[in-house]
Amino acid sequence: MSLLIVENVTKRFGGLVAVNDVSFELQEGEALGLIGPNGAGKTTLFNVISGNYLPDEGRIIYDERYDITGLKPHRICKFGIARTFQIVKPFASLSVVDNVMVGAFLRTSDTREAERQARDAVEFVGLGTQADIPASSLTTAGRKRLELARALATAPRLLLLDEVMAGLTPTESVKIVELIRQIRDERGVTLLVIEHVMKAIMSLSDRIAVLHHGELIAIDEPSVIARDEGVVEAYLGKEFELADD
Amino acid sequence: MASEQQPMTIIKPRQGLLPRETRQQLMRLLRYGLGGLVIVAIVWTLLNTGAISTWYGQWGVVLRQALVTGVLVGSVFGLVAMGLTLIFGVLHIINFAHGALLTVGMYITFTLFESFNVDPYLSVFVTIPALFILGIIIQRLIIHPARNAPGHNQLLLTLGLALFIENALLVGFTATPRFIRLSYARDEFSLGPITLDFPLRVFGTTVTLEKLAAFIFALLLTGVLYFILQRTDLGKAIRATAQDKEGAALVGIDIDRISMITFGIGTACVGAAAALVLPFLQVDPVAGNAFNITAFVIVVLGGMGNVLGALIGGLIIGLTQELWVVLPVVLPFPFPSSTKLLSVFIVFVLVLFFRPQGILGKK
Amino acid sequence: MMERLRQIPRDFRYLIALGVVLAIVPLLLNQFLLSVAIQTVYWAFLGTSWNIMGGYAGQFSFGHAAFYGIGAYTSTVLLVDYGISPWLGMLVGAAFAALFGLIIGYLSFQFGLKGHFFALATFAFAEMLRLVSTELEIVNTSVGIHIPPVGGDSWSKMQFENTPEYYFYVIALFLIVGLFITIIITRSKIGYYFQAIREDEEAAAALGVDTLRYKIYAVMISAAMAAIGGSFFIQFFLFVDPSLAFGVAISIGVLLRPIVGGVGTIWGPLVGALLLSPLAEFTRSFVRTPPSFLSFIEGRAGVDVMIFGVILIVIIIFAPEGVAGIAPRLWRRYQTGRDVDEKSKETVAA
Repeated sequence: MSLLIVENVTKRFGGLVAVNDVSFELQEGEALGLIGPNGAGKTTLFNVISGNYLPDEGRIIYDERYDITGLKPHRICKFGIARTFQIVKPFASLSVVDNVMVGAFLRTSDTREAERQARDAVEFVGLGTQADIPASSLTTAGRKRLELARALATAPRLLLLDEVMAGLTPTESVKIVELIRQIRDERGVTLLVIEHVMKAIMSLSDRIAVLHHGELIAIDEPSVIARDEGVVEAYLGKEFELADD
Repeated sequence: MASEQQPMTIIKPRQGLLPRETRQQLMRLLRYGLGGLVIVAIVWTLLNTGAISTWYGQWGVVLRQALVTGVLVGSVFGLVAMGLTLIFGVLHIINFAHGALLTVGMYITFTLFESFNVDPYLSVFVTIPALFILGIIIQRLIIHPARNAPGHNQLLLTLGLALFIENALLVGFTATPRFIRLSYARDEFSLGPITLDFPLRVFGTTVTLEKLAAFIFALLLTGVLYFILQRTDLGKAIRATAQDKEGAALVGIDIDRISMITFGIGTACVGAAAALVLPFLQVDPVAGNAFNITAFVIVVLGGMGNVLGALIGGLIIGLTQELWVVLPVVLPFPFPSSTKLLSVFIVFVLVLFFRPQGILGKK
Repeated sequence: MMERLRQIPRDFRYLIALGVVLAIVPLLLNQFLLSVAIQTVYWAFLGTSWNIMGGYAGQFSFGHAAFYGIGAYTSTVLLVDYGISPWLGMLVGAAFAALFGLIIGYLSFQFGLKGHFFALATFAFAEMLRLVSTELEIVNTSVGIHIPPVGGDSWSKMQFENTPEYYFYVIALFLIVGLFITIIITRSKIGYYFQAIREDEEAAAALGVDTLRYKIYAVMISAAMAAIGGSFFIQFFLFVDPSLAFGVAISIGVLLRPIVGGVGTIWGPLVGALLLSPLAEFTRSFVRTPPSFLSFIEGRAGVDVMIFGVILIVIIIFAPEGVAGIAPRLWRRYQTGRDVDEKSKETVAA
């Protein structure tokens, strides 16, 4: 079934059309990659889905039942859509586990239960040994993991990941990709992923959607996308070749 | 593609007390309602021109007087606020000692007049450099050491400084209000063919020499400051620092030095204002407080860090204050009388809510 | 017994200890020191109220006098005009202040006021209340209201002329309750949400925190507590006028304690009050009767506040994160080893 339906969504900023009449469906359990050059409207589309922006046109249907267009971010999160930010936003003066507890408190008001869930999530993303240090003393890679742990603690059905790999070394990226794969496989979370690291996203996603100048120019399996001339022209570059994995 | 397999029912979760559509309709109704009221008011005015002209005949002088006084005094408010907004723009601190420094300037002017018989308009040549140097000392001694501390610390530092200055003045000068009076305030002046007989009478309003002089000098100094900011290398460095600290540092601007000088210029503004207002005000150790509060409002009104906005804001606040005071008298219906300061805060709250970026700011 | 005590979380243990100390303190003090102690505890209580909103939720209030004054005037008017006990008046005042907090919080946050702008808005609201109250008949305009002394002790009228220790116990109880509330908040969902909002509102919202609602909660809790502080002080002072109720001095005094002590820490406001309030009182009495070589400052109004201003500046420059911020850092350095030991024990046990 479709967990998320994006229906003819348009978002303008003044005269600029950041997202132009975009429609697609996201199946439950799927991992959909969202690619496109800078300024293609990927993050704007994320912000529309997560409730940070109100779309000018179109609507977002969740779980085939709820029209969540224009709800505030915290309401959308309550429905089961969590997100991470391109520029990580840790609660700097709180400890790692306290950071994650904020997410866990969405589903429980009991502090012990929240802490149990939070430690579970912290363990899952591999920050177990750093659970009690302040978030401000984490490395960049650590902060990315923290973002994931916090989002996971809200028990989402859909996770929006905005450039989780940006700013990471190749080794760290490989580990994060592995972690994201686990999130889908072990926790059954549907994924919508913005990523610039092409190899990673091609291997991670079941399907790839390509945004260009705010328009959805293609949506298909990675192997098809890599051969799509329009996409290659617009974004991947002529010399692009799909790296085998 | 989504429309082909449209689910049977789609629930639209509610947000807020009322559904969005209802709220939009309410807002539309409100807007039409307000528009309608404006039209009714215009029609009523056109139908009752007679009554209005009688009313204006009765109160026109009072209103014109309020306008004239408002503009004259507002220019000085603008000068004070300019110093504050400049400091905010570059150092990002809200200087709560600004009013106390104005008081310092007023006491300097007073002492010069009392002890050495220096004309207050000449004492700007003392107060401006004195306050400039004082500002630099304060910045070095108190603000600079705390530049990396959390923002509220700087606010408290300036508060502590204000406490110190106010009470030092209390110790030095006691709480007795002091004032000076110009011997030539009611003289005649001949400027070539024109003879100015103070206080001037313009359209039935009275313009005193003190306020006119304050107005002219305030505009002059504003012009000088604007010239410095726009045309000199120092001014360009200040504006660059205000716009982007890191960028300015990258192109070789010494941020520490600019911060120091900006603070000095900011306090020099109150040095000038102090000499200009003393002839028509009195000074006691907390005399600057009212200016301080007013200046905050003007800074927000004009857009934080916007020098030209401060002047316009100053004029607006000057007008608002003077008009507010005459409202209970001139309005044909009962209106509670209250202090000038209340109108300042009412404007303040409205600006904060509806145009927090200031009147000149872009959304 | 000791074993049972050890199971209680650390902050509650400190609170119990504080309660014991506060119970004993009045027995050891003379009249002057008792009044210093009352001032100290009272400012600690007010600081604790500010700390919830300004410290934990990160909404810097520069106009706490608004809430304080609403409490002060409500209980006073109810007592003087209607003969209602200040204990009840205090609660009504707290409710009014919370309501006022709800209104200005909703307006300010709905219009997106943050940081400097929010602080200035709260300042403006307090000043507006002050200016309006100077014209308002019901609070006897700028003349102010005297509370008629009952002459002697009266619990129902909250006046303790014969045994001022009771004033101390009343405000000490308020402080204990205030700190208890703070501890409860820090250990529950609401406290986590407050701190998340303080650190990053957008991230908090993305984790399902209704930021508008929780910011308003913080304002309301803080406002109600400040109002109770206002009621108490006016009962103690037996006089209120617009600048006593809504004056800038209150707004500043209230935020000074937590900032000097440590913003957003449970014990910061108390530490700040212990430092500043006696300091203010002692400089005042020092100026009243200075040593002979300083006799020229004797009775000069303002010298005490001058000294206070200088000390304030020095504290803020040298302890930018508050005095309580320094102590725990040293403590933590000492404790790090122990914590790790305990952790490893726990993992073994699990």
